[in-house]
Amino acid sequence: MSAPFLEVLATPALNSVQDLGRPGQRRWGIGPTGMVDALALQVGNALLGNAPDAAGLELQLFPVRLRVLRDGAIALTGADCDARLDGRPVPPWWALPVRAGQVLELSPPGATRRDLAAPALRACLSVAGGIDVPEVLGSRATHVRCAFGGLEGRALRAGDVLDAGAAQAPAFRDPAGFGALPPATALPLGDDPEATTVRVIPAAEYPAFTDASHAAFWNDPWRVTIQSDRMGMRLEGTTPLKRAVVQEMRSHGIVCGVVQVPPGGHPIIQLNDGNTAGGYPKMGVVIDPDLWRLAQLPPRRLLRFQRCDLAQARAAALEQEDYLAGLRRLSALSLMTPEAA
Amino acid sequence: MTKPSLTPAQLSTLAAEMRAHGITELDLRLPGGDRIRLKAPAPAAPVATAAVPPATSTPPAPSAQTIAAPGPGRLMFTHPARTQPAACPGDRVAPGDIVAWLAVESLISPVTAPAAGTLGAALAEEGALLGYGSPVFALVPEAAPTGPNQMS
Repeated sequence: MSAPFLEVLATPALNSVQDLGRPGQRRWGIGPTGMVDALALQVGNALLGNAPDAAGLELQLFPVRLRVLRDGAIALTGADCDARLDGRPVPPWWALPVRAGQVLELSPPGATRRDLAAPALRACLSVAGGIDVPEVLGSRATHVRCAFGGLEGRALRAGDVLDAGAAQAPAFRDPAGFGALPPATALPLGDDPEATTVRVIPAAEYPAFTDASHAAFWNDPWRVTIQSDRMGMRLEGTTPLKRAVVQEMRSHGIVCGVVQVPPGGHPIIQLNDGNTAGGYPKMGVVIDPDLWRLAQLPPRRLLRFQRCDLAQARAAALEQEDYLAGLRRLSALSLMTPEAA
Repeated sequence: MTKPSLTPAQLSTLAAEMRAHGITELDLRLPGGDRIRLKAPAPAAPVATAAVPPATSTPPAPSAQTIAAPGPGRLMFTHPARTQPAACPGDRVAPGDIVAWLAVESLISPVTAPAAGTLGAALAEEGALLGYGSPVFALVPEAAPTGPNQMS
């Protein structure tokens, strides 16, 4: 049983209902979409005791104002938006009870406070029970380009009313709520404080690139350009990546996180709304457990690639799963079951 | 039909664990709704170092109290996603305001002000492992509940 839970009072474009995406449809040319920072959504869902893939709101542009229509619970994860609930500050990576009539306000990350420990781009709002919109092809994720999924296949706008799935919200032992150690703290990576580091497995065309390109790829910082969105991010470096022998390639299936190199030599990383096929040579693939790091990387920030193999990628995935499992276990202790409340 | 509560043996095990770990108060909510509170006898030297000098200028001198840890955890005055502390001595706080955090593994709990007032000195160090009831901040409560928006 779901019921109206949130009303959108104000939002810029590009904010949408997302879940963990729509896998298995690539053969029809349908990409995964879903929350770019999928880890933020999973943390929010873990804090609230939701199913791991419950849908939430992906907020990329601000300010956003939402009115709570019914008593319940929310979690804010991802970018620190200096959130206020009826004017009272809500810490980042936080779950808390909300009451009907309260207004939640989120500001652009870093605009209202200067003490963010790391750059951040996208916030995730989870609600107890998950945002309830009809499933399309097995997912609630909005596919904006194809205009289906999510709320009427489009981005959010003022006046939208969102249903939540929980019949009964969890009760909090402390009305101030509780939170999660942010992934950047729990799962640190890289030793360059000026850059975000992600791990990459070399891809099929890696050997075709020159030695100088290999060296630049792993050793240079790459700047994220403003031509970056949910489809992908374009990078800029001092050494364009070149192949020793240039061969035309047929289009082939590509995945989220793939690092392609167009003729200009400046790499592109495909993200959740990216193409399902492409013909550019591939330098590597950012491992799944590090995609959330890309999700929080604003334009003009620096990115570094760290070489890794399949075993290290699996270890990283397990480390992330341990972090989430710990959160689920500990959150259950901070929430009272509806019977005991 | 009531569900079985804790057995005397379990209770005495809990009491022994409390003594062993220096826990002075335990508040257990059991599945089924039972609630059990265990309290150790007050220690001979209370923690309250109360270094508040006798205030001569403020006549009613509201008694200082402390903001205590609501549970065990590693104390953080600064949220790990930020670089500035949640609150500093001298800040005015309202009831329920978060003044610090406690981390247990990957979970963070809030330390909140129990009443309106002004924060006094921090009574524990950043990163300290605190137990239930450990003092975190001194708090000078507001003298009397004043009317809304009343200027003093």
